[in-house]
Amino acid sequence: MAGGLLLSSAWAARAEHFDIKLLAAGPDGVAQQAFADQAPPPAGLNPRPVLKARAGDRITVQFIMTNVYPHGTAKGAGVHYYVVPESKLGQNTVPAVNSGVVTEGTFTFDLKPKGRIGARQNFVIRQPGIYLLRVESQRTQRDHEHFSAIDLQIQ
Amino acid sequence: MKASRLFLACVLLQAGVPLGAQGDGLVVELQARTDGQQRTASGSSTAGAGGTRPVLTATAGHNVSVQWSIVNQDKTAGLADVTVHCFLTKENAIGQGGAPPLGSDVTYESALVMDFEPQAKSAADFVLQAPEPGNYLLRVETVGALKQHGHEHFAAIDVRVVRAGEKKG
Repeated sequence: MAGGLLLSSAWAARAEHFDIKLLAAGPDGVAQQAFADQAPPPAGLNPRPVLKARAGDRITVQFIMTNVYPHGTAKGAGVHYYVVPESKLGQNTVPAVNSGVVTEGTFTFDLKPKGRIGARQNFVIRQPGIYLLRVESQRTQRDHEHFSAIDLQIQ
Repeated sequence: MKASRLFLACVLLQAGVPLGAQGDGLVVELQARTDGQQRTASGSSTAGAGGTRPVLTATAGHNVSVQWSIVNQDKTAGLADVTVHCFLTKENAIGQGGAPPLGSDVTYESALVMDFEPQAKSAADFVLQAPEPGNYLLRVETVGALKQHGHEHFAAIDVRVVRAGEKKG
């Protein structure tokens, strides 16, 4: 019961600010998608989907974030996305984005109500391992940020 | 993965609210770096003749760092609902006229929508892997300024991707 209430509260909070759709696809048409989660806690509340691919495969990622918070513009807000190595699938800490970064990007802009931002990108991971694909909001002038994430298992 | 046109359309879906006076102070800058080289392009307007684009030579698989910025330098006039669209996609030849069509195989594409109030700025900084050898166009452009002041703004760099070990001419 309490767990259900907590989950409901979390969902309501998620729905309040950002709608995120994150998609990762391998070369064989297999794809995984993830939706908005929130931090803290850093790794969020939802289990992450896992996309399996082989080293050297072309992987395509796409995200679209929509600001559903209807009150005012957050000036100088940001979006940060990255693919970095992690220790294990479902790791509940967020790795530092400073070593072995496969790809990374940041955007700075004034986030207006109903404002949208999206990107898609192709890349290749040459080293087998476990990687975290994550896109997150920054500087939205609220007490928490939103993100979406997928684990990449590269064999 | 959805086709490129659908991707841009998804981001463009946005209710428009005019910001008042119409301005023309958008300044666009684009920079790309790889393997010790750097190329910078400043904004052009679709109302004027396009100049020669700088050319960056990259090695397939190597990282290319890209930065762009758009500033509304006008102190009184804003532009509402401007989409900033950036992409890297194949082109037939270095310096070709016109932007190539964006297909589902586009290497990189992004779009964001914002109101450029007076002095407002938007920027991005990201890393790409240079794709398979060939000629590519890296371009950042506005979409939606046309209806407010008669033209769009853009900056572009040609990217020639070569195989590792191939001479960068």
